[in-house]
Amino acid sequence: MNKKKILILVGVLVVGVLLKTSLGIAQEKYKGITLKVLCQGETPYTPSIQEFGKEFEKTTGAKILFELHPWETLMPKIITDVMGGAGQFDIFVNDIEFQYSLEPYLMPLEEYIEKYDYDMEGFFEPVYKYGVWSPKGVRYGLPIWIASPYVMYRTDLLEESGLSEFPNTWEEYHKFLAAHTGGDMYGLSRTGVLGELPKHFFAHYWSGGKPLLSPDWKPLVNSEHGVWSFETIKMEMENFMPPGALSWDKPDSAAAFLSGHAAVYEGWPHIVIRKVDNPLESEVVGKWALAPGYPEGGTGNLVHQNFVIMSATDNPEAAFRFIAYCTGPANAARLLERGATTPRKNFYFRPEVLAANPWLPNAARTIDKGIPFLPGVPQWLEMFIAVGEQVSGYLSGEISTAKAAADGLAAKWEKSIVSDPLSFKYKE
Amino acid sequence: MSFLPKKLNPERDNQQRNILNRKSLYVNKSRGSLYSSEKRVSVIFILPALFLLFFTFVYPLAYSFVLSFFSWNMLVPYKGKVFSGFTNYVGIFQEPAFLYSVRRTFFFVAVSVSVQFILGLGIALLITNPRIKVMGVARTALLIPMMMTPIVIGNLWRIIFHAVYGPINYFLNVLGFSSYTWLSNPQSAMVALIVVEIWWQLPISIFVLAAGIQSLPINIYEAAEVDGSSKLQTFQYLTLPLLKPVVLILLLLQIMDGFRMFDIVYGMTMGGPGSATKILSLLIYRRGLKFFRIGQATAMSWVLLLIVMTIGIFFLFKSQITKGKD
Repeated sequence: MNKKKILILVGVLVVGVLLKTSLGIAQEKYKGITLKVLCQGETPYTPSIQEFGKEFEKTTGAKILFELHPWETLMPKIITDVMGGAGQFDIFVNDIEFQYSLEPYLMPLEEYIEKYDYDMEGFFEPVYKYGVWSPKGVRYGLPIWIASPYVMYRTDLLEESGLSEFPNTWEEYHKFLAAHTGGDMYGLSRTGVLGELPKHFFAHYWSGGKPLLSPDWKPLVNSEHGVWSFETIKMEMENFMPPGALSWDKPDSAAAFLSGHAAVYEGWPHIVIRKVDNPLESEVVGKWALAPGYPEGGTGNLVHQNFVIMSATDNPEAAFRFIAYCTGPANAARLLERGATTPRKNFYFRPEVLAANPWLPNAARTIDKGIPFLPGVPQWLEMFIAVGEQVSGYLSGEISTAKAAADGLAAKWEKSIVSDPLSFKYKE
Repeated sequence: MSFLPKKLNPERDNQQRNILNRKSLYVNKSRGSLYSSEKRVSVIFILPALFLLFFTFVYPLAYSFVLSFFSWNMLVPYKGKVFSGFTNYVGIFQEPAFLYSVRRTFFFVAVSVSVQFILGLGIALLITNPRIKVMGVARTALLIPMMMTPIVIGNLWRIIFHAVYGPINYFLNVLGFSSYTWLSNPQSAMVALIVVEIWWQLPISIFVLAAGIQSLPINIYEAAEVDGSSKLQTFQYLTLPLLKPVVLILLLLQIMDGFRMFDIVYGMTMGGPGSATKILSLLIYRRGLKFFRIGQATAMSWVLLLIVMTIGIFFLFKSQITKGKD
């Protein structure tokens, strides 16, 4: 072989190596990095983010390991991890309320949002209002899922009642429920187990337009409207719901509506939405719609699940790029296609999305009105469970009057707040 | 060779004594060294287990006791641990929820253990009666509840007791009775829990008591029969007293199990409706692992431990007295 041919061969080899290498760097920017994600299993978005994880792996070379837990064990898992100093997780995905306790262990995201020009446009209003941790005004999370308890109703029964639109006052609502209670038909289906009762209380309480606490943390739940809320929940259970509903969990209440035995379903949407138009799982295919919310502006507690980055992570950049990928506009539509209500409101009104999901506008209206429970309060869970205990106690007869139940709730809340006072004013 | 009787042969006796002394000297010396090296080896072998025991049992127990004197909410990290003396202990005894939970727990344990024992004894007497042939299949079937995990049992029975879809109400309807809201009523929810606990623990009572009955000496019963004692007299004056040690230990174990019960409540009622079935173990779980009020939860845990220990000591004391009398 002569010198010229050798030089050409070497030149081709060098260019080939350079090309491959440059592609390799871009393609595998985070090769060798493993990101461990603690996440709730069995959510509408979990399959999607696992898929996004695989795509991110292919693109960047980072390894994404998901550890899935039921909601019940997430808090103990993450709290013992941070308090014990193990720091085994890079990313944690769950309710925004968890951030109120984890705040010292979380990485603020503003710097990265600006650095990578993350698109913060088009979210629901609560994402802007409540997504920033109120005392410090710092954003720790990027939202992946947002939901509020919905009211779903039977369109055929609404027509039968001669109504053109879903009742907007409690009085009309109860008349509608009463009209469809009889035989093996019930006006209302909703959960009754302790952990699920708070949202029913909030739906009634917040229809009065008042906050749960005063700015200086005095409970307002034992006001006249608070007592009315307790009484109304009990009246609805006794008059419009199947017997034993106090022990009903989510599958039970969903089953009652899907089997055609309930005129109205109140509860989390994802359990029913996935099945309601499947003839194998639903007797009400095409005979349902979403109401624009609870009567008189009531709303259940808003669920707002975020990706947060733990401050102990060794790979903050890779972690941010991953969560930005999952929550970015490009994947919002995919989340919606899979039945997970994305926090990006602008996707709800796209013609192609609406055509497939005509219920979305009312879902958007419900979410826009949503209020998360006790923003910024680390001891939120014990105050949340206190609501469930008082409502359950009153509904079961353990607590004899609504006033006693409401006063008991106020007392429990005061005790929680006094034991760990907060330095900022309460605001909803 | 001497033909004197052994006693009267001092020379031989002295020789034998010397031989024995030398042997014992040798044995003692060697046992002394043998004994200390044996001891060393045995200590080396049990050291790993001791370490494990210390770090998995002794240290956590001691640490939890120390924590019970601190005020610590892990959900409010900026506060950290604050020494509070006996505040937690005083506080929990002033807390209506804790006192109510203690009462519900005692009620649960008292009723479930009593019924388990009575039913268990009855069935044990049946299956050990030689005149009654109990098939192997029946004996195995009695074991099934023991083989199931408690959380599965709790969820399974929640479905069984379901007011609309549960088989209990279905069969009640078939028989012409109306459905009952088993788990929505505070009283019936506790009864349901007790029924499930009995269903789960009964096999242990049956088989322990059956083993105890089968180990009783037959000749005493034969003698009693010859003396003309009735079945009831035999049971009252022979069987029960002879079974006493077994009964005491069985009751102790079942009482301890009753106080520790958690999974079934968690699966069936989660402490509801209201606080009707919120027994101590669930209250402690919630306080410690949901609300992360570690000081209060550990104080409650130690109170529960002291209750169970007191009952345990009482039963062991009774058991010792029974043994002494025997």
